[in-house]
Amino acid sequence: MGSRRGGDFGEFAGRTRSVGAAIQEIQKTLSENKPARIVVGTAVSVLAISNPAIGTLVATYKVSKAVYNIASKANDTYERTHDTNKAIKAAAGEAVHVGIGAARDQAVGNIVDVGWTSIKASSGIVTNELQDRILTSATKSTLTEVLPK
Amino acid sequence: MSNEELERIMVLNYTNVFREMLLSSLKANPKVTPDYLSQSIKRQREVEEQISRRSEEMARALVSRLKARGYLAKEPTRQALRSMIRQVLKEFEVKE
Repeated sequence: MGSRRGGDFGEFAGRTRSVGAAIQEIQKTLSENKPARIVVGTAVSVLAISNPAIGTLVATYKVSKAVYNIASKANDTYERTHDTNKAIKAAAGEAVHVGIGAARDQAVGNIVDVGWTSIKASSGIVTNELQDRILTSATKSTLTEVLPK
Repeated sequence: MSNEELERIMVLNYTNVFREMLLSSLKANPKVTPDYLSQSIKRQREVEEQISRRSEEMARALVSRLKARGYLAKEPTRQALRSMIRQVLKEFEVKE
C-alpha cells in the first residue's frame, strides 16, 4: 500500500462506522494543525479498532520468523564463504527453493515477490491482497537491512 | 544466529509493518490524503519522523512483552497475540 503503490487505507482498515469516524479524527487533527504526535497517535487509534490491521500484525509474527529463517540461512552461508552473492542465493533458496540471479537489492525484492506464496504457506498465515501489500513491503525493508551486504 | 538476532529481526519487521500502515493512513487514504498533502513539506516531514519514532517504540514494546512471556521461542496463541497487540496500540493511541 502507500502512495507509491496505490491502494486505499479505508478499504484495508475495514469500512465500519467506528473506523470511518476514527479516520475523520485524523483529518481533523490535520485541519486543526495539531502537533505531529497527536496526528500520529490518532492514526494509531484507527489501527487499534481495525480488525484487518490487527490481523496483519498477528501475521507479522509468523512472517518475522520466516524472515529470521531466511536471514539465518544467508548468514550461515556468508560465514562459510564470505561471498554476498552466495549468501543471497541461499536466502532465495530458503524462501522460494529456486535460484535468483540479480543484484542484491533486486534479488531481495525478488525473494519476497516470488517467494511470498511459499512464505505464507509455510508460515500458515491467511491474508488478503491489501494485507499482503503491507507485509511484503515491510518484509523487503527488513530483509534489505538484515541480509549480508 | 541467536535469540538476540530473532528479537532484532522481530523489532525491525514490526517497526516496518507499523510504519507502512501509519503512512498508508495518511498517504493512501482518499479521505485524509488531500489534507495531508496540503500541509507544508516541513510539517509532513515532522509527521513522518513521528511515524518512524512511534513505529519503533510500538515494535519494541510489543516484542518486549512477547519476550517476557517466552513467546519469542514458543508461539503464542492467536488470541494471546491479538490481545497483546491491542494493548500496545491502546497504550500508544491518542484520543482528542
